[in-house]
Amino acid sequence: MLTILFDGIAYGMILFVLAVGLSVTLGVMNVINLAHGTFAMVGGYAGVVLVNRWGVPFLAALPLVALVAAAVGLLLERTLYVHVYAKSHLDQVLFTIGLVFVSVSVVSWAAGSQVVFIQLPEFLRTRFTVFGASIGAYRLLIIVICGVLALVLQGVLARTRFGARLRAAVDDPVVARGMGIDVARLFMVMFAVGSGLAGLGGALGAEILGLDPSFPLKFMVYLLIVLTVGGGSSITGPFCAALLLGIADVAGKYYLPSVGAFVIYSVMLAVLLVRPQGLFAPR
Amino acid sequence: MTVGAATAVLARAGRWRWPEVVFWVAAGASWFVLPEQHLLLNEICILGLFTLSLDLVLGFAGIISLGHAAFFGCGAYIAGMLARAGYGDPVLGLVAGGVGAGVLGFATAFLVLRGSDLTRLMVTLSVSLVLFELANRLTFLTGGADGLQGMAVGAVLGRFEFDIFGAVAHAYSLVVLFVLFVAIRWIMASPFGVSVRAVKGNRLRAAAIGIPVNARLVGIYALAALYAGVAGALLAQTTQFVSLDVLAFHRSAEVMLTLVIGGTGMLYGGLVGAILFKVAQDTLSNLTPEYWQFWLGLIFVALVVVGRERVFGWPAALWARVRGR
Amino acid sequence: MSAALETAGLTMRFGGLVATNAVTLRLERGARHALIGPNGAGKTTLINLLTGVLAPSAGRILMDGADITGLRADRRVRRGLVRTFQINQLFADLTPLATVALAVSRRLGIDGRVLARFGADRRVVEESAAVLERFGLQGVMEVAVGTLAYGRQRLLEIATAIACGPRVLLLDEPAAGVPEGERDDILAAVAGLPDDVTVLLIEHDMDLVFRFASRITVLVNGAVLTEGVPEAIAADPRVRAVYLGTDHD
Repeated sequence: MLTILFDGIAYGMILFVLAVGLSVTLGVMNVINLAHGTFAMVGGYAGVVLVNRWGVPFLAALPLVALVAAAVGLLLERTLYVHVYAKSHLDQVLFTIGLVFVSVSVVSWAAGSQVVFIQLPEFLRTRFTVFGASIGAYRLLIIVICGVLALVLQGVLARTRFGARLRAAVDDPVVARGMGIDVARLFMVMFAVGSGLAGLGGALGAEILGLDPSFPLKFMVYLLIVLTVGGGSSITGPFCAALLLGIADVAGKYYLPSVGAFVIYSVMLAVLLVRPQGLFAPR
Repeated sequence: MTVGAATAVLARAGRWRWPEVVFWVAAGASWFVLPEQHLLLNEICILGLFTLSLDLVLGFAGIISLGHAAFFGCGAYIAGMLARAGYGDPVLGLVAGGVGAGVLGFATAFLVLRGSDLTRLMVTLSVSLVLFELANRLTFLTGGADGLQGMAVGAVLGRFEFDIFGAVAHAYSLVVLFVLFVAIRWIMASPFGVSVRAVKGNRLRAAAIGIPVNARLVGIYALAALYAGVAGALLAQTTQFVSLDVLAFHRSAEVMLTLVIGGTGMLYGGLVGAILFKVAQDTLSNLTPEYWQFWLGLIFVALVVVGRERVFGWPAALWARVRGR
Repeated sequence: MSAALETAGLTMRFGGLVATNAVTLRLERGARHALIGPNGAGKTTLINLLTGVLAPSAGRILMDGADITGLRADRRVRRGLVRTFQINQLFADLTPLATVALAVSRRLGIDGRVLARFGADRRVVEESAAVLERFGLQGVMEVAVGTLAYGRQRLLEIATAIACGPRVLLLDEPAAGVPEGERDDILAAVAGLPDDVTVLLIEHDMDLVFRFASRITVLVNGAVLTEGVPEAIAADPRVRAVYLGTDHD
């Protein structure tokens, strides 16, 4: 049972890292960005190329992958997303679905449609036994990296001047602009960081999630669920929601295999019925 | 006298305009004039009905739904399962599919009443995904990933057997579409229809004149689900097959694009969009069969970036002129 | 005899902000009551509470003795509690005729009919025509509301409320933003309301207030400062201080 819990936490951590960037575009910039999974896919495939083809060590590849995803995010943001900020939600939905379709087709064409894996180094394939539970080094690494990231993000947000400016821009962009804060640039940075994190999550979690060109479509729903349950624009909300959902999904699939996939949808629907603004939203 | 003028204005509102008559005459004529296109035209009728149903949700109720395929698929599977179980009468399947989907719509309508655009998007998407999973798992009912086999669809009205050229199918779909269109046009010109438009126009104001907003939204949502279910049943019966594809996400995405092309809130938008979409799809599939999704995505992106109003402002302007205002 | 509309300790808190502070108000049937106060006093919040747009943090609202505190907004309208909005809230894509006819249809209980043609009922047409004529809108009855001049829209705002057949009418700054020439129409409409309709008027225009009201409540910082007949209010030094400031400010 502990193993399930552990695996669930690892899965949840990946979901968190993937979703936190979406929390930015959605909760902060109020853009319905259904294409967020694309950046995760980009990161994942970049990881495949770096590690499998070019032999870059796994741990070294991770930050590189994040950079690649961030760069792609930045490029798309400056060229395409800017046109969409002021548009209606319907337009944003159409736009981002279009992006997903395009990216999925391109990757399909370039890399084929089979599931790909990133070759994990030997030391990550070992397992330990702790309190009678079997724990994989790989999942342990995931938990550590994502946990550290969560703490860093929370720290930056809560304790640095940058974080203060960020929170100001989130609370009231008009006033923030009036105070001299360059909101547009902040948003651009946040978008890039969010995409980078998604890319990292994609590469880090490729083993668990299964990486193929349909990834953005498959996981878009999960990510949106994390955000809907966790509430828009904080770090802690999606964090808790991601863990909750990760554990629920893994446990569900293990204990009730025939209905496993429904657990996550049912949890979400139940939460939405009771608290439409999300479980952990401040208001 | 004001009363007289008012009576005249109100009476005029629901009346059929000549371009509408031309449209339907042309639609009927297509059966005779384009016999080699029966299959394509059948698809257009079905997609037109499906898109019309989404217009009720999106254009009239203002709910962004990414899971409208749930009702389409629901209707398709109900009709299919009935046909497989020996109840092959097409009209029976239509009614059952429509009613079943309508009930599903009624049941899930309460979920879309609250929350933001995103919440509603999530909810509608999740409903369709849950349904997809259900259809995938309950293989004994739905045939699972292999699809529903062994449908024995009977003759329409006991006389017209479905043929391989699609002539009967086309006529069947067209008649159903026409009947349902007339019905919805009538309904939207009723007090109920005007109150729905009011709710979409200004929810706060609508409540402030006493309109039960939630009741109206549930009503229009259930009605839209019913229409989508009938469209799904039509597909099942005219192709004698139902696969998981009827519940797939891309179906919800495509119907949204179709509606956007034709224009929301005008009823005819769905039909025009269906014609444009199917013709484009037919042409493009012949050119690049595997990369259809790529071009579709590119169209979505370009459409939004260029600006929907700039590209498709014409249908709304045209419609306003047609209605004489 | 129970009041047409009364509140008991009505309170509204938004987080740390107390927008409405234990307001107790009583409107007798047929009253011509005005609510005044400086900007930000919470007048519109109070209207939102009364009509059910906001749910109160504490307190009760009674209409003809019946507790309506938990009643949904549209249900209150059906009981006869109708309001106008300070900023026009209209259906931009409908016409004045359609708007008024919809309100009338709602009042007659036929707005949910699916099979009847909108406006087929003789009563709807006659009443709509009468309301439109009363407000001088019959000439523009077919025009899209969004294209009407502001003053006309304001008249439509009030006309729509009248078409609902109110027993208690809450007017939120009906003359706000209306050019001088068209104000008289608004004033006439307000003055011409039937005697058995209870009216609560929120206004900044003191001229209108003193001409219209038989009782005035002064609201400051969400709480009732004082209430009384117009002469008493005009003479009250506290009211003057609130509006004009005291010497130390």
